[in-house]
Amino acid sequence: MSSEYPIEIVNLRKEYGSFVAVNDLNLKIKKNSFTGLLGPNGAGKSTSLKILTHLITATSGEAFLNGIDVTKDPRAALTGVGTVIETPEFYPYLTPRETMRYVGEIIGMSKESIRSETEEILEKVKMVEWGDKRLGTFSKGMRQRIALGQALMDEPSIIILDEPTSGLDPRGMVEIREVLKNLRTDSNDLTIVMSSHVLTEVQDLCDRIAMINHGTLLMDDDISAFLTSHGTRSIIAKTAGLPVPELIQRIRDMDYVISADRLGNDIQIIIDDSKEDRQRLFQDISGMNAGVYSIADSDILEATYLDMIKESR
Amino acid sequence: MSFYMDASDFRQAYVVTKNEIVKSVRGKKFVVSLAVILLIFLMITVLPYATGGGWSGKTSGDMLSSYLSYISMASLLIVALLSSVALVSEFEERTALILFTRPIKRTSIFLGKIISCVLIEAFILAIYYILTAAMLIVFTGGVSFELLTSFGFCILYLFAASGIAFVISAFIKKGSVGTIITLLVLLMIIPIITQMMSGDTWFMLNTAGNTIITCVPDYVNSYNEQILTWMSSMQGAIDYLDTSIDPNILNVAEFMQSMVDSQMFGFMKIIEIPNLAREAGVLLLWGIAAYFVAWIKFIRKEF
Repeated sequence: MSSEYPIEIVNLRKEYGSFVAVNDLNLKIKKNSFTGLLGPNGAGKSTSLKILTHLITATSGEAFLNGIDVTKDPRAALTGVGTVIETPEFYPYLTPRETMRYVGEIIGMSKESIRSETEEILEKVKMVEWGDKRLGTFSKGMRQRIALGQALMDEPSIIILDEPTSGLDPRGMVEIREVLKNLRTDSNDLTIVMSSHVLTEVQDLCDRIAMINHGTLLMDDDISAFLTSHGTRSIIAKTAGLPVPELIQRIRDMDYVISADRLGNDIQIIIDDSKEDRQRLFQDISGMNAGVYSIADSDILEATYLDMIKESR
Repeated sequence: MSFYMDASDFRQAYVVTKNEIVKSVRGKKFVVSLAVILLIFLMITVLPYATGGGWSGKTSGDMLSSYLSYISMASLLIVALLSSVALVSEFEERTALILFTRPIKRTSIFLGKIISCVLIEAFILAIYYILTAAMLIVFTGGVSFELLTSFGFCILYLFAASGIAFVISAFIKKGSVGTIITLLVLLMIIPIITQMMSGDTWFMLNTAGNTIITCVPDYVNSYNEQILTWMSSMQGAIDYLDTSIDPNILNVAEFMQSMVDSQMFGFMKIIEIPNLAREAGVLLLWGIAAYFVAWIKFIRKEF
């Protein structure tokens, strides 16, 4: 296995009876990248990550962590790997410091390293003042910060995150994202893979995107390349009332418009990603006097994501 | 699936044991278990005074027959409270998401859980034994070595019963259900099966578990004395009734005779000190077999 790809999934398959959750998936995660794993519910993201972290076994295929197949030698493969799968729970009668010590002792760290790293990590996740309180009294957001903290014990070279902000309130989400952002800037040798449903979160944190649907890989690329690969831009036009079909058709008929469709109470217009076309669209729609009161970029990642998922159906 | 464990696997099992002990000791179930044991001890100690009697002048056998009679039931209650949730709680409470994703074999986790459960349960029952020994010293002036043998069998019984609880814990999805099923299996199903079996049932878990009390000669002698006294007074009554010419009274005498002959239909048997080595082996085998089944299920269980 190449050291350029610390995480490598080869022909991975997971079947539950007749249902195929992961369908001969192949995926390579680049060293020192922060890869967002995207896909709708049931796409196979969590299943793949759970196989990678040895929570479930694969029906067939291989999953390498730092060159070691987790399906064959999970203990060796998971050495140097930190994980936060969904929103894990902790033993409520332990404190964060005791939890870190427990994890550190399992990994085989020395007492001194455990002590110093625990303080460093609690600082990182902003939980120093809570270090000796029992976890049973913590909010979900606080527990998730501790979950992230324990994943950082022994300075892992790989971190696997499965929807780490799922179920958190907006403040909790922001706090976790802050920690993840700092991780990227603080460490030179860290590969992170994170599954998420929150596209803005992926856009904000990740430098690469891998998209999965029906257990197979749809694409895997740099986020910048992903956003421009389609070479299009999605524009949302808002009208005072419901958009009338005639208006949509008139927009569609413009020679530079790729598509125009009703999207709820709005119109989604896809054009080439050029300043000129955007300018022309703005002028043309304004000139129509058709009740359009707002023209703005839609979420590009979301639009592209939906396009790709639609295509893969 | 491999039995092989190296030194670092055992070190990790030790870490899990330590953590499990801390976790349990701080938990509510530990407090409840301790309270159950202390309540039993308190009731046995105080109730004789409340009913106008007391412990003064009682023999060691009398005292042991009171204090040890409830020990196996108390052991099962504690096992049901603590061991039945040992495995399932990792999945139900989602703590497995932290522990199982670490570089540790599930076998090490499993081993750590067995050791911690048996140690905690043994600790709770040790308190009961120490208090019983203290009562014996105060009222009879000494304590027999056999009380220690009884404690040894109590630990073996905890080991075996915990094995059954682990099997249940490995298969079910909810801890509360596991506790109820464990109680049902240990306190009802196994004793009923034993009751239905004919002949010597030395190989059954509850029979072997009775060695906790039958290994103490003072207890056995005291118990048998009570049975013999009962039988002798019954026999006296029967002999008296037999002198009657009334057929109804003779029928009653005949029925009473059958009760004496069958040792109250098997409920008031003269007991003997069992083969201790054999019964220890039985308890060990029950435990090992049960833990093996639980281990197979546990290492394959998916989250």
